Amino acid sequence: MKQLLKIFFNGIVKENPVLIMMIGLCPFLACSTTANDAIGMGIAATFVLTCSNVIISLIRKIIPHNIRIPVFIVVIATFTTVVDYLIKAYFPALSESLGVFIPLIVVNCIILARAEAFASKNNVFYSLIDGIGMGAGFFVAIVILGIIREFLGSGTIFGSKEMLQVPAVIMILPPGGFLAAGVVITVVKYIENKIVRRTKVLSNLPSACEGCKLKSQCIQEKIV
Amino acid sequence: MNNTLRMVLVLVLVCIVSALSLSFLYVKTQPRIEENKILKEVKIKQELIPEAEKFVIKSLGDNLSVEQCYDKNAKLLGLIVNSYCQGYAGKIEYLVAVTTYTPISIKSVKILSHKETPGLGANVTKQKFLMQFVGKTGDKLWLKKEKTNGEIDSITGATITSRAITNSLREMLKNNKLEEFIEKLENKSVLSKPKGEHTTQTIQQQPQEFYSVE
Repeated sequence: MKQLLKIFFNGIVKENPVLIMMIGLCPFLACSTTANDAIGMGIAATFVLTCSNVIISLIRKIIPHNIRIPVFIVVIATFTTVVDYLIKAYFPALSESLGVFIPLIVVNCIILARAEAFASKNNVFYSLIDGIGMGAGFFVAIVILGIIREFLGSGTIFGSKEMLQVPAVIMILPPGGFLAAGVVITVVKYIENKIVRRTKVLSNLPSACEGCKLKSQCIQEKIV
Repeated sequence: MNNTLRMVLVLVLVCIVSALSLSFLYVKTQPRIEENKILKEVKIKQELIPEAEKFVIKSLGDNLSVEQCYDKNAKLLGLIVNSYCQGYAGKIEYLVAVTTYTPISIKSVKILSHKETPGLGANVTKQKFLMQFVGKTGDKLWLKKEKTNGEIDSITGATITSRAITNSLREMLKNNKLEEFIEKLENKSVLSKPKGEHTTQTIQQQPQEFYSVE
């Protein structure tokens, strides 16, 4: 159980595919102009990622090492087309806003990366959890960016009524995407660095500090 | 050799399974996808001209077709023009309700499909932009910033899309064939009944059979 939770939260926090590992930036930027599109893209990518992880993990033992990449791509492309058909047939409204981006999932390198790095080496159940966790990480990241860009660029949140007098249109355009993504990633890196530094300091304390009353103060003031 | 054979076999097998499952899903979902498309079109047409139940389509050249809309009692309610233009990222298909007399003016506009950028060009489907066209005749359909007597405000950040639609609508209204068609309609005096027998069914039941081509 602990192992499962670890795999799941690994995808959201420690190895967040977009914000920490910097993969899958293309759909992250392209589909985050409005929060609703971001949610749709997040769900679609999570679905494809989970399904492809499960299937690849199932067939991992019969795939010869040399042709693993083509096989992964075929599996991923199949699930992307499945999503495309299902959305068109059962969620026509969503397909209108997402239609252009669905084929993009094929080239979303998060999915290929997880297939290569995790699903081809672990059992089905772990791969399923990893797919959901990584998908959730992508979902959280893209929705945060979607909300920021939609609010600054069109002055709305989830398509509500306009809240800004003069929205900055550039935030919806590609340059705004890079700007917003840069800021979000900076914030995440800043927090990450703080945490990493703290744990590093704690594990590298000189033995003389043990039992010292001023220990916590030293760490706070970054003396050690 | 043995290894090569194995690679070929596995890849072929994976592809066959994938192709089979995809074709199965295609056969299952395709009718629904088509149906969704038709239902959407009918819904938009009914928004344009409420109470319209029968549509008689006539094609006027390659990118223009006119539909006469009749209510239950075969009374002519209005005309819907179906056309498309090249937007920023692809074809923009739209439906326009126009007056049944000359000079032709626009009653209302709806976008059927488009591939514009979400958040920018995709705003063409918003009422705020489309309401501007209501009641306008061809000579007023210019962007404000491009011609002094233009009356259309373009969408911020999506000038190309706005211009494409405005120009396309203007050209459509000035189209000789459309004018001829409408003049002929006027000359036919009070249009009592459309030619041919049309069955009156509700659209929701059988959308496909609802169309007849003149």
